[in-house]
Amino acid sequence: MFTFKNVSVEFRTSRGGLCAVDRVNLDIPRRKFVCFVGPSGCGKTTLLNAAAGLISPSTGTIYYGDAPRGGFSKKIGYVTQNETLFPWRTAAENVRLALELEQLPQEEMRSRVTHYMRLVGLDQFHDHYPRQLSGGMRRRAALARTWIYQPETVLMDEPFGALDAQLKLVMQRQLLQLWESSRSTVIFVTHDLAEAVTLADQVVVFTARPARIKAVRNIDLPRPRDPYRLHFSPEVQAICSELWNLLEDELTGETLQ
Amino acid sequence: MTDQASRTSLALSGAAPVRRKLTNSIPPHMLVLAVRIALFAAVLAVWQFIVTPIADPFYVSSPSRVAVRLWEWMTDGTVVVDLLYTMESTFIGYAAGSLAGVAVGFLAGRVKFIGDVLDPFFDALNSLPRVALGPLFILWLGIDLAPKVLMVASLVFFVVMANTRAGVRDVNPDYINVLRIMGADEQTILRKVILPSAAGWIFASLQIALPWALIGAVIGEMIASDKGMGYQILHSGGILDSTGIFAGLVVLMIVGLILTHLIRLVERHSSRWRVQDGK
Repeated sequence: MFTFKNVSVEFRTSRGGLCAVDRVNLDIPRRKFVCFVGPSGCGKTTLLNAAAGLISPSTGTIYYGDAPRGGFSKKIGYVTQNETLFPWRTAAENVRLALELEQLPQEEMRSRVTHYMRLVGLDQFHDHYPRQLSGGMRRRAALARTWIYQPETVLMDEPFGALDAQLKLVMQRQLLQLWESSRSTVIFVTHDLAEAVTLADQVVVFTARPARIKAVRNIDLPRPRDPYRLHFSPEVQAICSELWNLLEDELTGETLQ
Repeated sequence: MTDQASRTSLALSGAAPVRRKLTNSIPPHMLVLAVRIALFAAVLAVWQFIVTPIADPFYVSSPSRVAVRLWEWMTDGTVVVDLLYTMESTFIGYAAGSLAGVAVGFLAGRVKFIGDVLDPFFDALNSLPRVALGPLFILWLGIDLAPKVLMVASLVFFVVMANTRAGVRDVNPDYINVLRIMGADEQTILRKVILPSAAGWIFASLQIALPWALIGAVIGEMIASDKGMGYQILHSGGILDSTGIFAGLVVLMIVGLILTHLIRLVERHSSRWRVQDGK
């Protein structure tokens, strides 16, 4: 689906160039769930922003399908790390946003919003404004806002990073339910190894900045998966410690710098 | 009073909350209202019974004289003509200035190049005392309604423009990206993100600009006019009639209060999402 060919991203700063992503070559297969893990600040988000089209790579090309990645379209959804629900809209109005752009009939909008609000467990909170919702509820609304327009590909940047461990599991389960029902291609950035292993078909491990691909590990656990059970299971723990060995070198490098 | 205080401290120290008796407590907003009315009455009483007898009514008039004058104005209809004239230039100028202010503010805030080019010109123009432009406005537009409208608009424009520009520049870029990623065009982004996000700033400026509109109209009438509240006040001053001046000021104050409250109502409705339990 997504193909990164020799993609580098460099930022110009007052101290000169800062290389965030260094010659990444990667192929994201269609309908797969791929997780990016790596030390924080390594450039995973930058790569995701490039995939979303918010920044363009300094060198190299990102292909979507067979063609180089073009302008913005409903084919690619992006759930960012930041809270981006519009505070002046209620939860349901936020979730409805993409449908308004398509100018769907009121009746259809309402039924789809109701459906997705129920999927993420917010059916009691249609008329609440974001500031009246808890952090987890806002996250779920943000998920629904993207999934409601059924993008072919969904990019997610540490969507559950700020949540506590239990809530994270609840959210992972909901995310997998959403994904099973639509089977979009997903690129999911996280620094939580267990989360990556629980969710992904493929985990891509990045080095410390500038982000290079250190390893690609396929996760062959059967689907559908239940994060509640899987999270503490020996299989997941084993893969995690394997990935941790890869990451550890990168983290030591970081502290020495 | 001491009873009240001890209850509060108890509640703060974590003891079980004590239910207040309804019978011997006045709701706070009623208390505020009562003190307000008392304060207003006290000011009037001091004016009527202390200031006026000590100073010369020729200079300070008195509430009773002002009230009688207002009654006369209302019954013979003169105040209606003057007030309508002032309101006309206030409203037309306010509407035109606000619309232009919002439009230009959007442009200067959204298109960085235009903003960068125009900002110093706006600063320069805005630093001109508008009264000083009065003669020019009259030279161009005569002495009827038009120069007053322009005076009002020139004051309102800068207040609204500067705030709109700041509001548009303040929009969270993440919000814009949300729509951009969904493939929205610039016009949709304007309508669905920038306008609602900047609405708070714009409303604040509309409220600030309202007294300025009234000021502009009155100044315009004082420079050259044969009608309007500004003219009326200037005329009263010309014939050494302090009662007429005060009566004119009272009328302007009442009008200003009404307008400010109207704007506040609109704002409260449009920004209900800011209120914690807003419904």
